Amino acid sequence: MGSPRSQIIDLIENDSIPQENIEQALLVSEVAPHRNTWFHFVDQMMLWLGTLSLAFAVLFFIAYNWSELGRFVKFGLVEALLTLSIAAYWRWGGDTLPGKASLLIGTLLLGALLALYGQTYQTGADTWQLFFNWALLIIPWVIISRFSVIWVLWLALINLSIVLYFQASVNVLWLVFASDSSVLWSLFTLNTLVLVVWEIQQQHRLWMQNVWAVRLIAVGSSIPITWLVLSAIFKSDTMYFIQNGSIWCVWLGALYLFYRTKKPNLFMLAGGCLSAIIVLIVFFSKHFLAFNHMGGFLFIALLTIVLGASAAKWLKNIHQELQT
Amino acid sequence: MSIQGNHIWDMLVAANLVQGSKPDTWKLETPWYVKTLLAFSGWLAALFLLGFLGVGFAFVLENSMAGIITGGLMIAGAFAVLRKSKDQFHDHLALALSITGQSLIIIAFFTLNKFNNPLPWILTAMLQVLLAGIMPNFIHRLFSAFFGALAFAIALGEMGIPYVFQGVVMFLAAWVWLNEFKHPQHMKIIQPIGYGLVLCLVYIKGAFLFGSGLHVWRSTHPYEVWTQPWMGEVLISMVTLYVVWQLLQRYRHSVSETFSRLVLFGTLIVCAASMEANGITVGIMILLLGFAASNRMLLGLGVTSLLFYVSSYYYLLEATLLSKSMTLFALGLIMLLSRWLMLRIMPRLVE
Repeated sequence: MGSPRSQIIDLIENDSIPQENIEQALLVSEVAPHRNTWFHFVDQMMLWLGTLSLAFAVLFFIAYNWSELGRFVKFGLVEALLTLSIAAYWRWGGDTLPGKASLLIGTLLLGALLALYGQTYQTGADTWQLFFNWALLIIPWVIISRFSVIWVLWLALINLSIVLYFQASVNVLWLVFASDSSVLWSLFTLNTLVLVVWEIQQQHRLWMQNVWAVRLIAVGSSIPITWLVLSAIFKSDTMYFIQNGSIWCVWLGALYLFYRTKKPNLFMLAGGCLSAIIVLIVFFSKHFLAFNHMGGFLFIALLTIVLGASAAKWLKNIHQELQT
Repeated sequence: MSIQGNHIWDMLVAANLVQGSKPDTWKLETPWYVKTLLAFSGWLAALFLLGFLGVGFAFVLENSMAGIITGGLMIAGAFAVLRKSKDQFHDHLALALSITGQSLIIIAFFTLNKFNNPLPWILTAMLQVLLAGIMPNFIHRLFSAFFGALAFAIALGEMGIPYVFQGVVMFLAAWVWLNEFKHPQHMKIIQPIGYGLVLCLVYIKGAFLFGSGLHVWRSTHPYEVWTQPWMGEVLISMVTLYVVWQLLQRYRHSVSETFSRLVLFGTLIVCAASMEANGITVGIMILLLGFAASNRMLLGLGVTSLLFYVSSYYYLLEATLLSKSMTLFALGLIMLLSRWLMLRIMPRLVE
């Protein structure tokens, strides 16, 4: 069932409401809000805009005077805010939204404190160490938060640490994934593992049943593996192509089996379709455009249309099936 | 927004606005990510089609008239397909055809323009206006409205009257959304155009705040500038006042009432306070338009644009961080003071 707005639009488009009654129908259905609702909305809007304006004003002021402030004032400022946010979490409790928001702000401020420490004392540490240490230090908060946003933030920090880590010339993970694509393999492995664990655990934990969080993690898994296959297509190394292509096929097959049969999820299937379309288009582009430009372009264009339309039709059928 | 959908028909019947049993209007809404997949595939196909034309029919790209004729034929073909289309494949094909045809025509416009004037942009805008009106496809209309408004804004810049295009696009967007339900037979045209205009407005304002303006689209030919940035902000404030006035009229409040005057005065104060903090007024207007019709998409756009503008305000080079801080502080105080006054005075007036 759609929202009241979409319901009214459907009725209007089907001429079910006489034109002279549309304005009144919007009011009756509250698609056009009542006066009191407007009053409440404007009240909330002014409150949030006013508060955020003041907050940003303070931030801009601090940024302006940043170079003039002594290091103890800088540290004191950040640590005071960090303490306040944790105090607010304790005051409101971990089960309330303000409490969770306070803890999120605390985790962000911890990162700011580490950055300030690195900047002030010039420790010479690599950038990846900042993000990795940040992720390490917030683990207790992440676990007690039971808040998807903080978990996703933590995963993003680990991902970023991996990417920056591979900018160093020799590292431990290179020994495991001994190739130029080590960073992509590391990201793919990590995010896929997290996705699997998340899907298993969310059956028992209500706070993990956030649609957007699972989608983000799935995107984090699909981008590296798709990129690996694309790089294999462009390399003239058959074994490398077979290796990457096989793993991609297994990943795609597992995605289809799980999200089509066990736990139907249209977004995941759409993501799989997008990955398949991109890989196929790039594959055929590389081979067809090499020997026949004109015919190749036309073929690829038609192939793109057919693949896109077929995927959309298949997804629409599944969507209909899931709704009934 | 809290009423369950299945009670809506009963409420309309109880209010004597409709009669009989509820018609079966249920239809499956395509999820946004499937639509995104379609749009992405359409774009990709159009790129390859253009490549095919470029390689196989190079004269089409070299000869402007051949480009216009071929492009026109492709758009006409896309229109014919869309009119009869009942499935995604044909929608998709038509979208790719139309985008390729438009690209050929627009390239021809620029090739023919030997005098470095805004004519190609004006012609592009007119083409997009025409397509937004006639092409029977939501994504196509949105795309045409977006690029039509952008082309128009660039044309104004080329004519030496920049800064005002934000206000003009904002007025068009406001007018479209305020009259969304007044022309039910044209709702399928109005809604995608409305979204296209709002997206263009957010893009234009964002490009302006990041310092690039629309310079990247413009020629390097020097021209005299007839307008100033403050004129644009005044225009934006006038459009916001217009929106508030229209909303007051919708709820049967005439301008002569004390309540209406206070609301308009409060709006004017907020607009004046946010003239330096660029983008805030635009975000507020999008929020108002979204809330007025329970449009969650517009509400989301409004919130996103406000956060985006405040963040990009940090990078604006025309003022120091100190002056920006003072501007935001004043704005925050005025907002909270206005809210306090509203809570004291308005409940009595509304009663």
